[in-house]
Amino acid sequence: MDILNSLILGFGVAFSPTNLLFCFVGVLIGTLIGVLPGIGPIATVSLLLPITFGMEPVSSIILLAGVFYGAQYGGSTTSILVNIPGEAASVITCLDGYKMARQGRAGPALGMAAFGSFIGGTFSVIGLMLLAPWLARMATRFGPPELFGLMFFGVTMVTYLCKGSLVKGIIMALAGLAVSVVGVDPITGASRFTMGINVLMDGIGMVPAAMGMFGIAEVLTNIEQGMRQEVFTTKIKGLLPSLRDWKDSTWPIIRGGMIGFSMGILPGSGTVIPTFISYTVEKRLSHHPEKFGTGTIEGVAAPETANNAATGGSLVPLLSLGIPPNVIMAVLLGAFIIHGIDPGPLLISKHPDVFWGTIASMYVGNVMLLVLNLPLIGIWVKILKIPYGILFPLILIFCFLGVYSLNNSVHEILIMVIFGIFGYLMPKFGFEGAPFLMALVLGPMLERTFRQSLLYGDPLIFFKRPISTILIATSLFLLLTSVFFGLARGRKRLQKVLAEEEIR
Amino acid sequence: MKYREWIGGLFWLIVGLVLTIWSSQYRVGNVIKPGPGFFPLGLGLLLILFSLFLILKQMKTFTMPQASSFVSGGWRKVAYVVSILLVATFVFEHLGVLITFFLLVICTMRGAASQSWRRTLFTALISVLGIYLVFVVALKQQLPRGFLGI
Repeated sequence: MDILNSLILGFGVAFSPTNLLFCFVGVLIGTLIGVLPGIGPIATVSLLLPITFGMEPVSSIILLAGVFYGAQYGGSTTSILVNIPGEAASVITCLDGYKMARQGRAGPALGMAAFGSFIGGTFSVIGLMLLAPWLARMATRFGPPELFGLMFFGVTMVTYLCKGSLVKGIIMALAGLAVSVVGVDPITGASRFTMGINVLMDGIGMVPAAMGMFGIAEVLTNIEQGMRQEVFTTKIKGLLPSLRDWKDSTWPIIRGGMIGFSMGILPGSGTVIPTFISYTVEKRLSHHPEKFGTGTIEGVAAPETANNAATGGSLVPLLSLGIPPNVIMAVLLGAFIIHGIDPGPLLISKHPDVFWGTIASMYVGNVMLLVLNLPLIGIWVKILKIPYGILFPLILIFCFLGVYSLNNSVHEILIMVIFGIFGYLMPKFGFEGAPFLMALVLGPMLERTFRQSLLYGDPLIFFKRPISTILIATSLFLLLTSVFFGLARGRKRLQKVLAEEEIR
Repeated sequence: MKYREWIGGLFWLIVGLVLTIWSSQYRVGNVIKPGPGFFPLGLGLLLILFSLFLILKQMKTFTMPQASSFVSGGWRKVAYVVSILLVATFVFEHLGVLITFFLLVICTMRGAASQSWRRTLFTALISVLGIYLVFVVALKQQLPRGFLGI
């Protein structure tokens, strides 16, 4: 039993006192920022990145992954109690969760969200454990054209699935790529677009950009709109769902887990879209679809399971191929690179402790989260009552600290502030940040594999190898048909479904 | 609100043009031997293409932008916080981390969130103390100490 031995190795790593501590700190911070609206996992993971420099690579990945899946747990709390999603992935939980709270059933809603999250999270770790090594073995034969195809597909999907106009998404992706070429050209050593400024020689870092666009910009937007907080004060009693709740939720949880995991693997979908899909699926399959949106437990169980299942799913391409399927994974990819671990097909065989240790820690972390979220729910509700006026200066100084400790450079703080302004203004014109950041992170690798592929001496190399042909042709098909030929009905329909669900 | 769509398109058109001209000054090479300018040049051209597409689409049809609009009065606070951030960036190494953050918290909480003085001072003190204990004492991070050496 190969997997069994590896798992024993993994649990050996995860159960070391330091790693247990980091796992706990990770899921604790994850839950905290999940509860707090206005700061999300992207900003937090980039924020913590510099602090993890001195740690063992595996400890730092355990910590950062904990923040990521912990945030999915915490996000549901605010959705249910305040009707403000703590995370984007919990938007849909507001629909039925908040209604349940209003009907005095906040307890079962929170309880089912936590149990669903636990089941989804555990299920996806098992899936990750089985799928990633297999995928990695397949990917060892990949050359530059295949890798280029994969990354191109990744950026395309994030762009394709963004909310607004597709042309704008493409423009943002192109802009992200353009920013990523600033600095020294990795192949020839020529410096590009640096204007002779020393700081720009190393390129524009992902951390300042991510924190600007997802940390500072978020704060600016919230300040402009004025955060309203009304915590629904009710006695939360009876966190354990009744037998009937369980009966109603069993199938939604199973389906939500499968939808979440398989969608999470796909580039671009992240943790948000699976929640919408699983909610819609449950509504379609339900015998009483009219009850959805009025406070039905299935409407909480399915999406909350799905978003946690998606976390394990999205780690699959990152750990087996080195391709991040969404922005948070892209930031985590940055963590691997900073720690000198080359993410890619060889990661599992070269660094088994990192891979299996992370997986084992996720089992442990999910148990910790269940404990953190059920008995301690009262604490999180108290934290929710902290006014935003106190919170946002703290977020700002943490962004400063995080970016500064990266390279001890004030210039990077300036870059962060500039990206903050950029990230605040761009949505006003209908441009979204996700494709930009995804392209910025993947840009250097995308360019390198692109140029390495061309060195084969054949510009059509991408279409002479089956895997890259499929990936690039699919991407181009998706983009070109919807931009130029008005065949965007499929995408429009998907967006319409999503928008309708959101409004209701 | 159509003008806003125009501004977006125009902005990226200019960026595309600048990128194209700028990258053509580096060695571009050819398809088989791409130079450092090859990839950025392609990006610049694509940016021009798509931003033109965006502008032309606006001329033909009137679509409601899905952009979130500016909240009246809100932008003042945003401009205020941004300028505080910029000032903080420039004084960061001179004043040191503790004083900068102390002032940053006070200025933003008083100016943009209209919190009471008591609450503001309390938050500022606690956060600076926390940062000192965690980052300076425990994690021993190299943070600027400023002219006072604290």
